[in-house]
Amino acid sequence: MKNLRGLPISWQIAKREIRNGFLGFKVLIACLVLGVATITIIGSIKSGIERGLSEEGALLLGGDAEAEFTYRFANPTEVTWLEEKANTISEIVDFRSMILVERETSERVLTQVKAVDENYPIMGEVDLFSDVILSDALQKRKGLPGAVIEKILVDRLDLQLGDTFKLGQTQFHLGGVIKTLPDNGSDGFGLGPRTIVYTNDLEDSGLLAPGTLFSTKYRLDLKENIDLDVVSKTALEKFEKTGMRWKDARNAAPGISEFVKRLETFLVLVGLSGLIVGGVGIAASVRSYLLLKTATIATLRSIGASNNIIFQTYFIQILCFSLLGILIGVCLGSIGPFVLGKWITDTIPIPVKIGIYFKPIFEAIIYGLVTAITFSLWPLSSIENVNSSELFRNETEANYKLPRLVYLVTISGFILFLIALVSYFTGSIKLTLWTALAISSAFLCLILVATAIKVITQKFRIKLRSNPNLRWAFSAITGPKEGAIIVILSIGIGLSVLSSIGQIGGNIRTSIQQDLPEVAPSYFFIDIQKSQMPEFRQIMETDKDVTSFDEAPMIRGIITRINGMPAKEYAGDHWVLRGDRGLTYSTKPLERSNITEGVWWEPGYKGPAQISFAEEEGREMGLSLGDELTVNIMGRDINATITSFRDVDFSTAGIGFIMSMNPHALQNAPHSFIATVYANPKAEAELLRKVASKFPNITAVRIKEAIAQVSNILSSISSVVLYGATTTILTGFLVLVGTAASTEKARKYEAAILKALGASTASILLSFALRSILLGGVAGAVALLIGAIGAWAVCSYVMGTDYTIMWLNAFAVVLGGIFANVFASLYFSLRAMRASTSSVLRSEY
Amino acid sequence: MQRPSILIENVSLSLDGNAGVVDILKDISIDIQEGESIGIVGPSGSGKSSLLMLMGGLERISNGSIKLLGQNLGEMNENKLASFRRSNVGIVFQSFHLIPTMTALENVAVPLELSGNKDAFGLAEEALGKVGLEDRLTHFPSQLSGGEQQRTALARAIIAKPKILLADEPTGNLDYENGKIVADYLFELHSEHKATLVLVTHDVELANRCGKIIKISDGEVYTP
Repeated sequence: MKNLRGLPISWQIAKREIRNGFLGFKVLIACLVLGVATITIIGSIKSGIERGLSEEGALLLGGDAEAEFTYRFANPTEVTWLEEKANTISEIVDFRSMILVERETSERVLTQVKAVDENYPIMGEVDLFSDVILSDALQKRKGLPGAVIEKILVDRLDLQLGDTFKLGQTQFHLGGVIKTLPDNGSDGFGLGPRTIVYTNDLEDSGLLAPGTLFSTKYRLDLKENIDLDVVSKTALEKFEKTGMRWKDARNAAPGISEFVKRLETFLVLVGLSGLIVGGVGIAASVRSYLLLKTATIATLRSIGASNNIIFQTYFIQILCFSLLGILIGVCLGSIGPFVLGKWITDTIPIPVKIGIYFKPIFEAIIYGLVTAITFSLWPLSSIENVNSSELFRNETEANYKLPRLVYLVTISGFILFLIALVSYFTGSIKLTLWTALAISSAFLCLILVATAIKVITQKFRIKLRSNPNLRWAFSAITGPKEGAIIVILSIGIGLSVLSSIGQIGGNIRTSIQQDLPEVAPSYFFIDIQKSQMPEFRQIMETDKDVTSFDEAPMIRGIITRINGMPAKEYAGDHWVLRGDRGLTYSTKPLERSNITEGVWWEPGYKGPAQISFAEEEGREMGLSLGDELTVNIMGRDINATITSFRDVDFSTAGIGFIMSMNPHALQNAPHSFIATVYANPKAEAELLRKVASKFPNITAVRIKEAIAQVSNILSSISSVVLYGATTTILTGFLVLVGTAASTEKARKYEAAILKALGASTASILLSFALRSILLGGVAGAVALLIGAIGAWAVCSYVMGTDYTIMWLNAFAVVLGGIFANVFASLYFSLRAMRASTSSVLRSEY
Repeated sequence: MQRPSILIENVSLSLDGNAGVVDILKDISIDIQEGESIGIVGPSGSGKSSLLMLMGGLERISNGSIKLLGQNLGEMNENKLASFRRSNVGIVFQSFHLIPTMTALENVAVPLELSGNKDAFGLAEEALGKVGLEDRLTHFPSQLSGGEQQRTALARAIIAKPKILLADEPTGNLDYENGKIVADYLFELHSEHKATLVLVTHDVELANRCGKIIKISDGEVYTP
């Protein structure tokens, strides 16, 4: 408390200083405005999405609740129970199939079929073009049942209303074109555009035969007074073991929620890195301000002000201006989503409730405040390191020492507090810690390089006697006024983020768009019936354009228990446990799959079920040999013991199963086969025609199209993250401008002396440009190195892909560094050149 | 026969400030011969330093003409002026005006570097030796005393062997002892290089060491 005794007098002095305006704090305010506004915008949009999902959950889901089954329809017991709970039920069958349009050259394309009953949709409306209503569009015309298709597919197939096409063996007419579906958000990722038909019309299509890959969804309009919690608990208690999956309006689109949460976390971290760059600006701004105030501080000290009073005086000022910056940032950040409203609602395919949300505002204020305090403490602490007589000396002679231990501990405490806050607010401790580690490493690396540059330029400048322009530039970098560390930090951090994103994104895209098509099969054929396999095999073996093909039986199942415990309790929320997974059976391990631990079953083994599990996923889930898995297949539980682990390579898009069982355990369950076919690209279309005309029920997934779809999604994510990273670059540029502004006086002075000594305008400007190019180039090169190391780590250890440097991105980063610094300093260099030599030299300096 | 080193004819200087246009110098005419040493004295604000700045081409005149070594400064652009200074004029300022990021040696070498002299650093070392700073070559301005800084500035002013040496209150920021040392060096170098010396000062004793004294008062040459 003793330390706070001088607070009132500090406040009085601070008020008088603040009266003079905020000119010395322009950069501090600007950095906080940008950082806080970015975080507020990201948080507000996320809150808007959450509100949208929660308020319109039932609409998104297409009902109050949904029960889902894989491979089968609900049995009578399940239907009776569902009917007891609901006023209305709508049954939907979801599966992939091929649309066949028979013309001179027949066309076959993949579609995601939604077969519905007459109750669909029980909530919301299917919006069709030409004001047609769904029930009319699906009516029979000339004996053919109707179907509606998404516009993108209609355009691709060049279909007109009334045109006919086949799904399996059934012919349909196009009754309407889909504009929007109410339940699109909860449907998840589909490989093809949607087609809607009545389930009854598929009876003779051959598409829903036993073993075919389909799922059924029962959407419920629950009776009044039914509690979602109670009904959800009862459903799981009664039917989880039969393979029923349950979700309700409270979490209608878990995939989207999870995706939005992850993206938001990533964006907040990118936003925070912007705030950290802003922190560098804050530190530089405070340092410059305190240097300007040297005489005032000295005067205060000479008339008896203690260290505490002086510290508090300037801390109060910094706090006031920080709050002003934060306030402006929060206001702009809150308005932002309203301004971007149309773009947001057009881009995000789910309802977004744009509004003012307290939580993101509160988070942004806290982030801004903690960053401002953390980064201003270091320069503030230097006040007491300078004694009274030194304070009156020229600013270049200021004495920079390491802050006292108490300050270092306080600064460290604030940094830890900031990390804890981010972890708490984002809920991603691991990601936050990794990001903190990455930013700290980048920080340290850039500081080390900046220090090294100062030492190197000091050592080498004497050797540049034949090149005065470069030597002057080297001299300026060595001197304290040019702020080499601040320049390299402010450009370097932003460019490191940009470089990492660019290198990671580039490598993933290369892997998906270039490497994968080279090793990936031409087609994935699914839903091949057991009886069709001999003929299918024969086609593949006799077609000279087929280079190779793999086949495997395919059944889908859900891991419900591990060693008798509920699976999620045992292994956490691992992706293998989310929904159903494909599993196969085989006498021997598939080609390209090696046993890493344990042994494969003997051929003809007929004992208790055994399972071979993917090694990497098994390790992540904490599984070991001898563990017992309960897998629910079509409502029946199969208990199997893990007897081996295998390498499974998913990177080639070939056949890869997490689980494989001994044939005796599965071969009697209804199932179909899948096959991957590697063919000459020019013969792919003909091969598809041959298979489809022979087996209308078989669905072909063209890998190149799937890759293009995944690439598009990745590009969108990458763009969103890049938008976030742009604010980091902008903040860095602001700091550069601030630094250049703070050195303007020194530049004017240097230019005036050089002019007085006979230097031409061009050579002085060249010297100014050279130092900008040198520092910007070094910052860019270090950022590239940091980005490359980060990307290599992510590619090698997270994505499991090879890393190659993306040269275009690399050059862009280095050039970006140079241009940013040259542009930031150009204006101030030109101003320095325009200043009157005599007035600069005659003014007190 | 001697020829004018500096010829100032009917020169006026008016500056536009916050308080309106201020006449700094009014119709000044001075003729300074080669090798002469001239002391310019006068009260503060009389326009002495402004006159020196005009002679160095660091300020543009409002009226009249200034010729240095027969060349009219008013007809030169900024780059030509810089080039002219580089070859012919050395300037010493009251506030030293050394570049803070360069060592003493580097500061002194700059004028020769600008002329493309390959031995800039050897000659700079020699020049610093002449002003007694041979042991301060690698020191930055902040590591030198005021007197040492002014001696460095002096070495920088004479290193290119200028025909004209302009000094604006060269001892104004120094104590008596250091001021005397700097003044001794200044006159010694003036004699050695046979340069025309124009010295602006408040110090009567220093002015009296010059061959001729011109008094300025209220922007005009004072004629008693």
